[in-house]
Amino acid sequence: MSRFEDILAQCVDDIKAGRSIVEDCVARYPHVREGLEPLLRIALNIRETPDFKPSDSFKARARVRLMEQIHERQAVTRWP
Amino acid sequence: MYENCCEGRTSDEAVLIQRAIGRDANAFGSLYDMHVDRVYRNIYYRVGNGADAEDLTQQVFLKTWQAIGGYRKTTSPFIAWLMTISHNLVVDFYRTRKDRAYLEAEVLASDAAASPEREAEAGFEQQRLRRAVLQLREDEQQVVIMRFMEGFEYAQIAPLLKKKEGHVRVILHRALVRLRSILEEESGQS
Repeated sequence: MSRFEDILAQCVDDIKAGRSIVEDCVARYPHVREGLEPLLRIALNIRETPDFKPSDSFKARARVRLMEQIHERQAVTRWP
Repeated sequence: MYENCCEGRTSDEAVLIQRAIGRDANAFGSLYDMHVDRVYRNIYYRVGNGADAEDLTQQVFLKTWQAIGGYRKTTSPFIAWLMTISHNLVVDFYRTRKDRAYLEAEVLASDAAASPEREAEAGFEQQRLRRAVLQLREDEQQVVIMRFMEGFEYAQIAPLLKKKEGHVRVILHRALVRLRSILEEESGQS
C-alpha cells in the first residue's frame, strides 16, 4: 500500500474496528508518520460526535403530517 | 457510532421498502419510525438548531416518499440513501440563504444556547470540531459525516456520490487535511 490516502483509510478502519491503535498504525508506516498521526487523531475525534435526539412530540407530529401529505398526494394522483 | 443494521432488521426493512415502493403508506410510516432519529441527528449536526432540523427532517421523508421508486437496494443501504437526500436538502437550505454567515451565526448561537447537559455532553473540543467540519466543502462534509459519524463503508458511499471508492478516500484525506488547517488556524487566533 503506497498511496497516502489508502494508508490513512486503512489505519482509520483498523482503529475503528479495534484491531489497532494510533501508535501501532504510525509505527507501521514510518515514512508518513508525521502527516499521518495528526490526521488520525482528528478522524478519531469525529467519531465522538454527540447524539442529538428529536423530541417524541415532534416525531409523532411529523409522522401524522407525513401521512396526511402522502394521502393528499395519493388522492390527487387518483383523481378523477 | 451507529451500526448500519442487524440482519433481522435489514430483512424487515427490505420488505417495508418493497411495500413502500408499491405506494403502501403504512409501510413507509414504519420506515419513518426506523430512521427518523438518525436523519434528525444528521441534519441537526449540520444546521445547529431544532426548528430547522425538524423542518428539514420532515422534508426528507416527504421527498423520500416521492422518490422511493428510484431506490436501488443493490447500490447502497436505504439509510445511506436517506442521508444523501438529507445532504442535498441541507445544501439547498444554505443555498437559499446565499450566505455562509447564516451558518456560522446559527452554529455559534446553538453553541451558546446549549443546555448545561448538552454542553457537558458535547464538550468544547467537539463544538470546535463541529464548527470546523461545517466549514468543509460540500463533498468533504458529506464523506466525513457518512464515514465517521454514520459508519458507512467506502463502497457504500461511492455510488451515492457517483464516484469511485478510491476517489472517496482522496476526498476524505483532503477533508482531514483541511480540518487540521482550520483547527490550527483557530488555535493560532485564540
